[in-house]
Amino acid sequence: MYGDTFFAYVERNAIDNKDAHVVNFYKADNANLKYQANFSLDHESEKFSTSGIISLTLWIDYLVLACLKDKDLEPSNDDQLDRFGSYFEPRMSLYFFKEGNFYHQPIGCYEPFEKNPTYDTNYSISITAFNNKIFLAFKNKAGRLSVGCLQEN
Amino acid sequence: MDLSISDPVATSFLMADAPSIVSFKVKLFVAFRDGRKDMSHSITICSSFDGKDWKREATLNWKHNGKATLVPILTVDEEKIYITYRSEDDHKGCCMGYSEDGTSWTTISVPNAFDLPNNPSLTDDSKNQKLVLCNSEL
Repeated sequence: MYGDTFFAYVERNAIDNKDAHVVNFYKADNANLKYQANFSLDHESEKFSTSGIISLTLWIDYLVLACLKDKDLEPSNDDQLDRFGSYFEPRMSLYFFKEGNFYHQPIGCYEPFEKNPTYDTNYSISITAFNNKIFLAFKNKAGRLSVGCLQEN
Repeated sequence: MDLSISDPVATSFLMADAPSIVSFKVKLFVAFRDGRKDMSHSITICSSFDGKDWKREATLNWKHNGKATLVPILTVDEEKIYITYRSEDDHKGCCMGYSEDGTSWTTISVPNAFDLPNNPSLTDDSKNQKLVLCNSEL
């Protein structure tokens, strides 16, 4: 897998009159992109979407994809609304790809983004592998850079 | 596999947009647009040996057609670390640069013909020994 170049993007499809956000995953094959797999961002019958940047990295013998997924919720008060009048609960998720299969790894219900509308909440995350660990960078609630490291429990 | 995120290190660096993080040689590097969305138009590059203590390596004030910058993306090959970002004027134009140490940066000329409705991404296609620039028109 090392030495290969991978590409992924999120496609928004209308399936059964419901929006579905699907990640399409390709590998570079000379001048072409060779389709590998796709998977829905939905989890355990709950619908999720993402409007942010997703990030890929190679880690040990896995290709790892990270994204912050949005789930529509009913706000308990107006302070929870963002500038677009929506209330999202971003959830950090990782997908591990190996031998043609994806394994989903929700990383808790971590909520790194500021709800203050003066900040731009773009729900984006960046990951990279370093010293056999996965590092994640994102904008925290105060609008500042945070970096975390994934550890095995 | 049961993973969890360790206590994230909150830095003092104020970001306008999403960060981009890569490992290059013996350090981690992260790039982001400074400040709040309506403020600075410069990009900060920081590095860290272990992801805990982050040091500002460079501040880039590159512009395209005299306009500001949007979300920077870092990528690496064996020799250099690269950065791409989109100009803010009419969301056209791609800006690129490279560095061999993360501190001094050189601009790469990119044709103005690129129309970038979304942020560009640069990746290293090492099998073919070339860099690949992606945008949403692909």
